[in-house]
Amino acid sequence: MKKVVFVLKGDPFSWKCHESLRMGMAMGVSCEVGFIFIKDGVYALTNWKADELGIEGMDRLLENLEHVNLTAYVEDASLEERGIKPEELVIKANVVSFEDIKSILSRASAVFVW
Amino acid sequence: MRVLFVVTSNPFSKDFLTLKMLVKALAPKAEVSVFFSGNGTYYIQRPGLEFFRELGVKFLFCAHSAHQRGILTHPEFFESSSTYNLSKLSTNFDKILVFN
Repeated sequence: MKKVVFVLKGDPFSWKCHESLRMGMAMGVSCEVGFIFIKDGVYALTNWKADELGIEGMDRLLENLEHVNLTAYVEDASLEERGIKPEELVIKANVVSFEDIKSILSRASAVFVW
Repeated sequence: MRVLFVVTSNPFSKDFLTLKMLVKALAPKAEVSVFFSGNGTYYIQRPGLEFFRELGVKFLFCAHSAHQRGILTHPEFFESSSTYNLSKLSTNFDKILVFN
């Protein structure tokens, strides 16, 4: 099975964040997808109250994560810099170091950076 | 060799020329396909794509993204597709490059 990695570094207020998760989940149907949330991308996994802002949130997408072959990773330094604790995340994501991320990327045959 | 470009940036960004140069270099010795999603679906409405057609490049686009952007019709050399189809397609390619 092809290994594909998505790297989300942008904040959740951009259409790219939603589009990347939508595309990553679709790719997870027949590929092994590693989805790495890094930098401001980690905010996408917090409770950022999209409905109060009147924009489409990620809940409906995140609810279906278990149905596709997608593993979520969050960079520890990005969480720490932003004062976010792993237990505050809305899904169970693997908290990894930048070194781990490097090895995940090196095993991938395609990398989508968002 | 089979190369797939996934383009989600708009057709008037810097990526258009990069894509043009890469395809020109690759097309003689590789089978090149381009999948447009997100803002990349605006390529459907961009003039001046004959260059790619003459090189035999295959164009596919995400119908969901196009519909989101009110793009309801497309030239015959664009093939309607989906991100799910991209998932299956990606296993057939040797290289995948993303312009985002």
